[in-house]
Amino acid sequence: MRAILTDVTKCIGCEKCVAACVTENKLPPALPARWTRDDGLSAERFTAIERKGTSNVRKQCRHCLEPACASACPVGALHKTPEGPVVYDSSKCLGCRYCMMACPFGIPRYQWGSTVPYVRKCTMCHENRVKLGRQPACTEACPTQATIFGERTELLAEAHRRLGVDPARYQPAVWGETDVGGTSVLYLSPIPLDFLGVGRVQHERALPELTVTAMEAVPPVFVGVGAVLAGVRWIIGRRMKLADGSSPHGGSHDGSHGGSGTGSRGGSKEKKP
Amino acid sequence: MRRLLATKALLWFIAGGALILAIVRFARGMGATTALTDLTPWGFWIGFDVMGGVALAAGGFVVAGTVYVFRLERYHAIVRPAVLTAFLGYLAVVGGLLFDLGLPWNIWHMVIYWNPHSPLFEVGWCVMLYLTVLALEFAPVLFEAARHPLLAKAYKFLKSATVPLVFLGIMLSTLHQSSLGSLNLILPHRLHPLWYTPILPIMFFVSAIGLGLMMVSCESLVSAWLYEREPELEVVQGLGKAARWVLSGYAVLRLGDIFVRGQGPAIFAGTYESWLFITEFLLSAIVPVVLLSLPAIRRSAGGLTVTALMAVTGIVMNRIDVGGLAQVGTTGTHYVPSWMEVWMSLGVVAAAALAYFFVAERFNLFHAGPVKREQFRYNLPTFDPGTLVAHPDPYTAGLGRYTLAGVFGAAVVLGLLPHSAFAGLSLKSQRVTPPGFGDRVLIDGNRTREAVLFEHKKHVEREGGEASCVRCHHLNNPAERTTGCARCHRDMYQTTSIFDHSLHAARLGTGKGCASCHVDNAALKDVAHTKACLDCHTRMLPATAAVKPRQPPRLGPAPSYVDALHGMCIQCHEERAKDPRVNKPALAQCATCHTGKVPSFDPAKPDARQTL
Amino acid sequence: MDTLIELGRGPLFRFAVALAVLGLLRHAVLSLWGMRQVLRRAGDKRFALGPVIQRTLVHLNPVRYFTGNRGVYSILSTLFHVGLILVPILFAGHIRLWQRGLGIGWPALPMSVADALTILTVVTGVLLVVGRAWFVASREMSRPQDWLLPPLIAFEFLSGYLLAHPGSNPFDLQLVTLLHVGVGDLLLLVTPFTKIAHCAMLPFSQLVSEMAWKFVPGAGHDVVKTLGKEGQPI
Repeated sequence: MRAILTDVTKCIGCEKCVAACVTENKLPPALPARWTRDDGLSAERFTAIERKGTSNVRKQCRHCLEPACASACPVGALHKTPEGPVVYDSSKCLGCRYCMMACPFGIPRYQWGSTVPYVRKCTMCHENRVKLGRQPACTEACPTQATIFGERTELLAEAHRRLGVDPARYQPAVWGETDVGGTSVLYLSPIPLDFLGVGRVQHERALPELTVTAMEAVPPVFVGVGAVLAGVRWIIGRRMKLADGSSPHGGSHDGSHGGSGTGSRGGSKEKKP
Repeated sequence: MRRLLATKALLWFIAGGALILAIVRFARGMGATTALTDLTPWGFWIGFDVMGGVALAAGGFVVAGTVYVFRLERYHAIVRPAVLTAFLGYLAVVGGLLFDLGLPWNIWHMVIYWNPHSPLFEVGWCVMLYLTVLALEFAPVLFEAARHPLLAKAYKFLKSATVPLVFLGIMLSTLHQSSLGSLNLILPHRLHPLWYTPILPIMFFVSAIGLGLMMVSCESLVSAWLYEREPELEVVQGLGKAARWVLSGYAVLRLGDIFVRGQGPAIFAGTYESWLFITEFLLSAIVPVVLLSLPAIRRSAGGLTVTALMAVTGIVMNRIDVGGLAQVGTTGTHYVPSWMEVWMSLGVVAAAALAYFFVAERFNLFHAGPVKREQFRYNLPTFDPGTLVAHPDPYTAGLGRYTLAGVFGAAVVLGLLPHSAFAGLSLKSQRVTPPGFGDRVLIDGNRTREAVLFEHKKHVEREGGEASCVRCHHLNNPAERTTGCARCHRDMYQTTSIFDHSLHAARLGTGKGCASCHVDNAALKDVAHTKACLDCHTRMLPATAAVKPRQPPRLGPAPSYVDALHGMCIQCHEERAKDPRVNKPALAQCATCHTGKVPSFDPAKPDARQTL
Repeated sequence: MDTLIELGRGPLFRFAVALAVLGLLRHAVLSLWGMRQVLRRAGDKRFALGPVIQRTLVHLNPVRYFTGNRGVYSILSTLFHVGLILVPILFAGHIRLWQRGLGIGWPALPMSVADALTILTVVTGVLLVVGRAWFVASREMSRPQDWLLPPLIAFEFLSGYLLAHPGSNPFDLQLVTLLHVGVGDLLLLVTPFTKIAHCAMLPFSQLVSEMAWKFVPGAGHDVVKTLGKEGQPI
C-alpha cells in the first residue's frame, strides 16, 4: 500500500505542491464563494498550505485505511483502492453528501455553484499516476522533500527513524499511524495537528466501526420483529376466541389492551440492540 | 367551511411559491437556494424533510399494528387516515429528498449499486419498500368504488393481503426508523454528546412510536376541526394513554443514557446545547407526559390537540437537533437555513396536506364516507366584477380562489428571490453592455441626490475604449453601485480652507445648480474645466490687497496619499492573487489588509477619504 | 428614498410583474378549464371557433367606429392605447433596465417618437376622463376604477417624461423617480384584477360569450322556473 509522508518541519510553504496539483488535475481558478471554508481547500483546490505560527502544514485527503466516507456512501461511489488512494466514482454518486458529513477531517468538498454538482477531493493522482507506478504530482514537485511518496510501511519506518534521530524536533507521534484506524497520509510535526480535524476530535478508532454493530443487527431485527408480531397476533387472536367462547360480549378488550401494549414494547426493546 | 377554505388557500399560497423555488433550485443549483456550506453539507432539508418527515409518518405502522397485531378493533376508525398520512408523509420525504440530492436523477442508483455498510443505503431501501407497502395498503380505499372488474379483483386481493402487508410494513418501519438514528453513529465528531449515543437507533425507534401516536391524534383532531365533524375523542384518548407510557419510557431511556455515559452535567452547563436539549426534552417528553396525566386535559379535544402538537413539535425538533442544530457548536459553523429552504420544505408539506384533503373529499377515508366538499352556489357563469372576466363553470369558483392564492404565493417568491436566482452565481460570465441609446446617461454617481448628465461615450473614449469599462463597472449588477464619480474626480468633494463643494451645491440648488460652475456640459467636471472662484466671487479680494493670490491651482486628478500607500503593497498582492496556481484569491480583497472597518465614502463627511 | 426606489425597482417590481403575468395566465387557464367542463356537461356539443376569432379581430379594429356616433371617443381611445402599449415596451431607458437585469434587449423607439407618443398618451388620457365626466350616460355607468385608471396612467407617462428630460423637471429627481416606479408597480399589480386585464383576456371573453350562454347546464329548469311552470308537464 502506497502512502505520503509529510514532514512539517521541512516545508517552506512555497506552494509548489499546490501549483502542481492544479496543473495535474486541470483545476479551475478558486473564486471565493459563500460556501467555502476558510481553510484553502475547496472543490477547486485539493491541497493547500495552512500556516500555523512558523509551521506550514499541507492539507489534503488523508486516504484513511478504513475511510468513513466510503463506509457511509449508500451507493459505494467512494472506495479504497488496493494501491492506497481513496477514489470517487462520479457516475455512481447521487449527491447525498453523507461522505462530507462522515469525514472526520472535512476533506470532501461540493460543487455548490453547479447544477450538476459532484464531490471533489484529492485522489492521490490515482488514475494517471499512482496506478501506473508513478508518484503524485505534489510529492514530485516538492523542492525540499518535505512531502514524500512510498510504501506505507517504509514511510512509517522512516518517520520513526527521524523521530529517533531528533526527538526534540517533533511531537512524539506519527500522525496517521493509528488515528482513525490509520491513514495513508502520514505527518511528522512540531505542533499538534488536531486542528486538521472537524468538530470534537474522535480519532481513537476507525469511524466505520461505529455503525457496524447497528448494521449487523439489521437482518436479525427484521426477522425477529416479524416473528414477534406474528406471535402476538396469534396469541391475542386465540385469547379473543376463548373469551368470545366463554362470554359472548367481549369484556376482555381492556385486559388485552393493557397486556399486549406493554408486552409488545418490551418485546421490541429486547430485539433492538 | 370558512376554516377549511382559509387553510386550503394558505396551503395553495405556500405551494405556489414552492413551485417557483423548485424551478430555481434546479435551474440555478443548491448554492443559489440553500445556505449549505462545505462544513454543513446537511441542513434543514435533511433535518426536517427527511428525518422529521419519516418520524412524522410513523403513525401509519403504529396504528396498523394496534389494530392488526394487537387486535384493538376500536381503533379501526383511524387506520385509513393514519395509513394515508403515512403514505403522503413518505411521498413528501422522497419529494423533499429530490430537492436535497445534488443529482436527484440518480436516486435509483441505490437499486443497482449496493453498499450494505451504509445506514443510508438501508434507509433508502426500507423507505422504497415501505412506500410500496403503504401504497398497497391504501390502494383498497381508492379501488373500493371502482366498477372496473380488474380493479374490483385487485381490491379483493389487496384486502385479503392486509395482514401480511401490515406485518411487512411494521418490520420495515422498525428498521428504517431506527436506522435514521444509526445514520448519525458515524458522526461522533460532529454530534454533541447530549445527543450522540451508541443507542441512538433505539432512541429514534421509541420516539418514533411516541410521535406516531401523537401525530395520528393530531391529524384526527385537526381534520375533525377543519371538516367540522365530531372528533373521535374516545380513540384519541386511548392513543394519548399509550403515548403517555411510550413518552415516559422515552424520557427515562434518554435521561438514563445521558447519565450512564456521564454526560449529566452537560445538561445544566448553561451552554447553547444545554438549552437546546432542555427545550427539546421538555417539549418532546416531560410536558406532554404531565399534560396527558391530567384528567382535565385528557377529556377535552382542545387540551389533547395542544398536547399532541407540542409532542410532535418536540420530537421533530429532536430530529432537527440531531440533523443539524446539535452539530453547530461542535463544528463551529453558522448555518441558518435560507428562507428558500424553509419555504420549500413547507411547500412539500402543503402539497401533502392538499393531497390529503383531496382524498378525504372523494373517498371513504372516514367511516362516515367522503366529507362534504365546500359548496358553492350554482349560478350562471360568474363575471369577475373587476375584470369582467367570466369563468363559465361555476364549479371553478372554488378553484378560482385557490389558484389565486397559488399565484400570489408564486409572485411573492419571485419578488423575494435574490438576484443570483435570475442571473446565476457565476462571477465570470457577467456581460457589461454599453448603453444602447444616446451618449449621455443621467446618473447620480455619488448617490448624493445630485444627478448629472454623464457623458458616457466621452468617458469610454478618454479612458481607453472597452477595456476601460471595469474602471467604473466592477460587476454591473442591478442595484449595485458603480464607482462613484468622486473616485476619479477626486477633487470634487475636497474641502479646503478655500472651497466647500457641498455647500456650494446646496446653495445653488441641488441638481440644477451644477451648470452655474460646470459651464460646459461636455467637459470633465473637474477643477480645470470649471469656473474659478474669482469668476463669481468677484469681490473676494479687496482691490487694495497687498498680496495678490494666484488662481487656485488648475490641476486634474492627482494621486492621493491613499493611492501612494496602496501602490506600495497592492501590486504584488494583485499579481499573486491572479496566479491561478496559488490558492489565495483573498489576497486582492480589501478586507484582507483593512481588517478593521472597511473604509467607505461617506458624502456626509466629504473629507472622509483624507482621514482614512 | 434610495431604499424605497430600489425596493420598487427590485423586489416589488418583480412581484408586480409576476402577479400580472401569472394572474392573467390564471384567468386564461380557468376560462379554458371551465369551458371544457361546460362543454362536457352540455347536450349541444357544437362549438364554433370561427366567430370567436372573427369577433376578437373585429374588436381589435377600432377604425370602423371612427365615423360612428362616438367617433371622437374612438379616435381618442385608439391614440391613448398606441402610446400606452408602445412606450413602456420600446422606450430606450426601459430596454436598458431590462438589459441590465436580465441581459435581454430589443430595438428602441427613437427618442423623439417616444416623446411625442408620451405627450399624446397624457393628453388623450386626460381628455378621456373629461369625456367620461361630460356625458351623463357614461358618467352614470362608470365604476371607481374607470375614474382612477386613466389619471394614474397619465401620471405615469408624465413622470416618465420628466425623468427622460431632467432639464425640464422642476421637481426633486428622487421623488419623481419614486412616484414613477411606485405607480408603475401599482398598475402592474392591479392588472389581473381590473379592466386592464382585457389586454390579454379579450379573446377569452369572446370565447365565453360564444360558449357559456349557449351551454348553461340546467338552463331548461331555470326557464321553467322563471315561467312559473314548475312541476307541469311540458
